[in-house]
Amino acid sequence: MSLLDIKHVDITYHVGKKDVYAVQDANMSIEPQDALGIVGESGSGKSTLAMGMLRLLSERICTIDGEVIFDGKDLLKLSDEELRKIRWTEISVVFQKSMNALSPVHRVGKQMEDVYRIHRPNASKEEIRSRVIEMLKVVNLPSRVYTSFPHELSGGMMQRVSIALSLLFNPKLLVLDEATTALDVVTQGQILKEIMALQEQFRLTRVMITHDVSVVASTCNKIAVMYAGRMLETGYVKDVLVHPKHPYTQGLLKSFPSFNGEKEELRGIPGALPDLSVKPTGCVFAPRCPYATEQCRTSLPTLQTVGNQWQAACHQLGGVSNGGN
Amino acid sequence: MRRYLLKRMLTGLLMVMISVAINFVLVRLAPGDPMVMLAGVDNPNPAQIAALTEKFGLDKSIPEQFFIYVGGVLRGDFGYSYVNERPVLALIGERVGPTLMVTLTALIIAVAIGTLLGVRCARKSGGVFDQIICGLSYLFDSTPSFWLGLMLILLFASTLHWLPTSGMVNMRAGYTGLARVGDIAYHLVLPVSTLALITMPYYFRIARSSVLQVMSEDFITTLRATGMSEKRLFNKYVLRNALIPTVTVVGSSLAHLIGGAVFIETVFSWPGMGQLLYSSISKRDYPLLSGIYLIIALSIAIMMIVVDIVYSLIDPRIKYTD
Amino acid sequence: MKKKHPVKAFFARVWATMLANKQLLVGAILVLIMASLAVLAPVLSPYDPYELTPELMKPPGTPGSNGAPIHWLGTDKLGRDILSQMLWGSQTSLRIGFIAASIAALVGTLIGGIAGYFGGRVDKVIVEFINIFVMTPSFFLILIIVAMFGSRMIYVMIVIGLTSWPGNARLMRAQAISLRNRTFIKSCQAMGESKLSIMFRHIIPNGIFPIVANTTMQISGAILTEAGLSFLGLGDPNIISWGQMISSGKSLLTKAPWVAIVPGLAVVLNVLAFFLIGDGLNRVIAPKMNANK
Repeated sequence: MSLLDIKHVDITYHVGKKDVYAVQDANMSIEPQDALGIVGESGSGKSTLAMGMLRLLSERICTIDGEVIFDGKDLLKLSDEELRKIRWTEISVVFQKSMNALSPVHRVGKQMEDVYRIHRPNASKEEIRSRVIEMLKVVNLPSRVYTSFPHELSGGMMQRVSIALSLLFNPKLLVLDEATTALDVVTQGQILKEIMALQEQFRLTRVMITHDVSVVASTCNKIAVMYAGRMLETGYVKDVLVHPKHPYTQGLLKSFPSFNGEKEELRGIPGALPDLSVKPTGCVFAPRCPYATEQCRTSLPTLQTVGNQWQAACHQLGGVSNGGN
Repeated sequence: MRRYLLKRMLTGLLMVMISVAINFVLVRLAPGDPMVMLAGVDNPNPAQIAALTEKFGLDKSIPEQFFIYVGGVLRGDFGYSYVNERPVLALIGERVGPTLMVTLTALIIAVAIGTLLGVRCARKSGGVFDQIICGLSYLFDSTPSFWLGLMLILLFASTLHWLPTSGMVNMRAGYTGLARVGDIAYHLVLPVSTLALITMPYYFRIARSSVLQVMSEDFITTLRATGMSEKRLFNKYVLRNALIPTVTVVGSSLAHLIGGAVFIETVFSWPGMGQLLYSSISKRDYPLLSGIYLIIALSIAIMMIVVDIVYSLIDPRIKYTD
Repeated sequence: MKKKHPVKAFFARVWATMLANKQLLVGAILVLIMASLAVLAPVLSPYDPYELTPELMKPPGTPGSNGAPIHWLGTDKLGRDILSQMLWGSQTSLRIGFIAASIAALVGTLIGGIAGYFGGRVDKVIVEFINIFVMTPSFFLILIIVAMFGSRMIYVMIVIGLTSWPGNARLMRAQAISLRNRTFIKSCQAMGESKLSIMFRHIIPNGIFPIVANTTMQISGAILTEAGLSFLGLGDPNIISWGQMISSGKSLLTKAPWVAIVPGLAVVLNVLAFFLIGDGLNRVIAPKMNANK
């Protein structure tokens, strides 16, 4: 049974009088102890999808439709109180910009204790303190971090604090939203390695959100490629990144020199993201796709199965599959 | 932190020194005879002239005069009012109390209500209440304090007869003890309301925008994702962060507040420093005028340093910025 | 790369925002109305503002004697027509507001630009100077200068201008600091353009927007300050100003309340208008804070 099932999720932002269709018809399922990487350019909706399924987007500015089945429960239908109980004990998040992940005027240790107390209100002071210090140790942080303020720590240290915080309750699912993007390459490599070790140790299921295909290639077993709010290709990394079926995935891979190379903005594909406030009639990638035909511009392609849990949304699947590398 | 405080104290000290220098220069640059400026009376008599020449060393060079002047200020000599025939410091001394009474009461009310409203409006920003209060804040921010005072007198004193028009006590009643305290409080209502109303928008906006700003910070999303209750999140984390700007502006708004007090005291005939200033202007009592200016500069410098100390205690980041 | 001239792009954005942002629109309309009234004061005034008519302290709407025009807003204790005084007074308010705020903008932009762009020791000294200046009770400084030097309007404008520049200087400094590391400034330096020329031709024009917004706010401040000075008896006796009118209405509060009410309302409206515009412009510059709308 899958741990997380995302079914037909649509997320729409309401900006003034305009509606921005940030995520449309997202479908994905994650087995226990999978590591899924969601890749896409900025504006592709990958972060929105992650925040939306955890109901962390303000309900005043957006609406979410569809189902997000986590461990048998639909997260989108839970009451606030039910959801609150699941948060952090079963699903936790490491956010991007970890430098700002904690309150700047409270000490790191106190904030972590505060978080621990949310779900263990009856825990003794000793228990809380030892748990927090234990978690800091797990992520290789010195114990002085406990009494530090966030601004006294480096970016890499704060990232480790965020990870320690996220593992406080041994959650089943860990979502990392561009968690290593702001770090230098060396620190990023170290932290990614540690994350994978922790996944083993804590039997985590992990969702990585990133614009960096090489991060997915080196740390995940599954991948979902998003573009302009839609999932264009999903499947095992060993399939998708080796024999990409969708022209966008192919382009995305071409724009990276190699899997382990420098991160670079997507330059391989000419053109820019389409206007998300207009619902497209055809394929969202058609305006930039070298293989686009009349059919692509007028009718919306649906995800088709092309292999073992491998799906792609493209009308030209037969025609372009050998265009990849 | 110590370095930061030392630096701020130095700034305060420099500010006072520059105010002293400005005072010195202005008197000598002003059109007309500096003797008249120093005396504050149009035709100083020979005795006054002799006394002033002696005291300020007017027969000596300008730099010498400056040192004599600074020396006087350092010894606590803020000048002598020939109009009132009393030392400036003594005149100010008996007026400080009433002014502090009005300004501090108004400040406390303005900070408390302004901040409460700001926090409330930020939590439900865009709602009807928020829009009304925001509109009012613009309105009161655009209203001259003296005119607002006059309008309140017109409404609550002249028309409704609920409150007294002016003064600090009812002279005729001659209350003593507790009755006198009550009488002063009764007279305090309108001046304090006026000053509080024009000061409130400032604190309202700061609280509102800083709560909004903090609520959009990343760490709020983190803490929300941990399942922390909105109540705890707001009361412990949002407020603690959002109230820092309010503390920091208390210091810088003081000058503004005391400026407002001048008008309020003039309008309500409140026997404080503002009224003293007003009468010193109308009587061209320059020594008193510059004495008041110096005292105000000095007290603002002291208050700023106090605020900085408080600030450095509540914001841990301060230790690292220079 | 679409590159509109920054000033053009700015005004295009202002226009678009104005249509979306009601407070900017309301402010702009109010200012336009008041500016036209001020310009047209000689034509619109039914009376010479100094003319002493026989109607003393008459309420609004009193007809003039011998077929003279109606006193729409009443008369003061000397029988002068309040509407005419109001119209002429609006010239004073606007002139003081504009000139004082322009002086503050000029001084602030220069000082802030130099501090931010030149950096180093110059910057340190200027920042310290600004810190000191911000602390000084500028209103009392204005008061004491005007009291000692005389209350001619030109002094009042200059003194207000010269005491309210620090805000602009801080804004410009921040702008200059962020601009000086941009590639186009670096390339100008590489091409051998002099520092001063870069500052005037690139840094200041590209960083001026926040100053524009702040200056609009300062027009409000200057109008309020002038009204205050006039109320304390430090206004120019040779001109008509709303502050002086309120001041003269103070003693007539119970007998002829309109003498104080009318000019006060005008001050509020005038100040509010510029305030709304300045605040609206700030939202154009920092759309992030617009999240509440």
